[in-house]
Amino acid sequence: MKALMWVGMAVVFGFLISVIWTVFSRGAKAMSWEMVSQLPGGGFYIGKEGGFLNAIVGSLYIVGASTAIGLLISVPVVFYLNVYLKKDSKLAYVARLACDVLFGMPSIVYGAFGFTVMVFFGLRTSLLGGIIVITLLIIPIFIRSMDEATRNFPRDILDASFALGATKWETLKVVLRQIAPGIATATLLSVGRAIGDAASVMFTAGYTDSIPTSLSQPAATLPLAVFFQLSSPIPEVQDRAYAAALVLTIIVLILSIGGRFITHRFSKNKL
Amino acid sequence: MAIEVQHLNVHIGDNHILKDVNLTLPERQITCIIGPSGCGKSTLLRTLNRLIDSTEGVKLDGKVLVDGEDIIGSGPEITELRRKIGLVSQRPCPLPMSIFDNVAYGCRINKMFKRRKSLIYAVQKNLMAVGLWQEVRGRVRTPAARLSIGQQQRLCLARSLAVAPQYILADEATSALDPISSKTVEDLFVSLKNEYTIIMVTHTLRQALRIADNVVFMYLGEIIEQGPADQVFNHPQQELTQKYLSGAFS
Repeated sequence: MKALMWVGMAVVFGFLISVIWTVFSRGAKAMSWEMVSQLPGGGFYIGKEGGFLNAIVGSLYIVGASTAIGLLISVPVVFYLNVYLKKDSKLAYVARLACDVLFGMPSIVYGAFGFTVMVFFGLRTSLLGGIIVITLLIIPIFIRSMDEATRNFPRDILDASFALGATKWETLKVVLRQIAPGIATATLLSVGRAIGDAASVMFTAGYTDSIPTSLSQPAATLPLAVFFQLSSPIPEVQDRAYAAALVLTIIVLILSIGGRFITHRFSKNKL
Repeated sequence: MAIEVQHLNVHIGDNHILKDVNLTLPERQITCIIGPSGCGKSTLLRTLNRLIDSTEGVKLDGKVLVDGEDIIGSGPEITELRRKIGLVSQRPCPLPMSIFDNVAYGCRINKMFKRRKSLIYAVQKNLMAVGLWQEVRGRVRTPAARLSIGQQQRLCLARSLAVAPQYILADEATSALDPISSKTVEDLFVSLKNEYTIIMVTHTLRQALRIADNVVFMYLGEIIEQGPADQVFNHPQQELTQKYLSGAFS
């Protein structure tokens, strides 16, 4: 039994290390300052000059905007579910179930849905399309993970704060202190999913070699940069796919390590 | 007379929780409210500092005079009222911050001190008042959640004392504690009664017997009997009180 556990652990670690190793070793070959600081040049996709700055910026635009919009929509929903609705409320049950279903929905379905909607409104692939679909994709993740963090919130804290003569606003600040780690974790989970998703942005944000200057222009993203370049038969271009994957991995690593750090600092005082 | 309750009725939804309650809570004494579970003791306590307001569908009528001022209806500013009436709840509930900040919280929101030094002094003084200072002096910046339950309850008491209340409401403040912590907190209340008016809901008759100056016996939302502890315990006037004290029901 113990041996089985060891084997399981070894498989997981081996897998993790080999993924990182592959991405780093193959990506490092093609990695250069040029890659992350320049737009693709004319012959980029046959192994000539340029980089994939367009994809980095595009990904950050989409993730930044959809995280902000996602938070704006999810936080009120979570408050409504946990503060206004009763514990055994049917609406809350249905809302949570809906989020769970959406949570498990493959992202290509989101992409297809977004595509249909855009066709219906006569929109073309654009930054806006990408932002909307990614927002829809991460809202259920936001809601469910924040919901879990808020659900076992000790209500006595409210009484304790009010009993000392605190106003609603002052009490809200105490509440935020208690649930901040939950919100941070939720944000990380969502950002991680949003930045790594290729399927949903393929038909909605599209792909382009330039940096979008308005919401109606298409936008490139890192996962798609990996996807397209890896499909190329030219080895140099394939290596660039790994360089893009490396950048993506580093962004995700920074986010999760930074997030852990912040969460840890916040949750120090948590009950 | 410090707090006077006149013809107080509390409804929550369709339930008539408190029925025509008339009560006098004398100053600088410990008044214990006893009675079986669900008789409205906690509701009464929560009405005194209007924490009951946060309960959905609550309706109050009657008069509650705190220092001669009716707190039901318009009354004084509610935050000011709550500052004047401290609360120690059944389960200790430190705020999600450090030991220091827990005690300082009330002082800060009520803007009691201009200088940081006075705040530090006040925190120290109140931690001493509950006998916690010696135990935590080296780690007042660590999270309050790391204290033991008994220490947390004393911290909550210190937190209440820090805003300089005149009254302390205690809702079964020792029932979640181990016997030793329970004894410590109980002794604390006794030592505080010279400065504060203490109103205590308790489940344990023996505790009331040990520390009460006055006793109020409630049953099904009504006050059955009230008076000096000696009189209520030794010469109860009502049959119900006699039965309750003899353990016929609880």
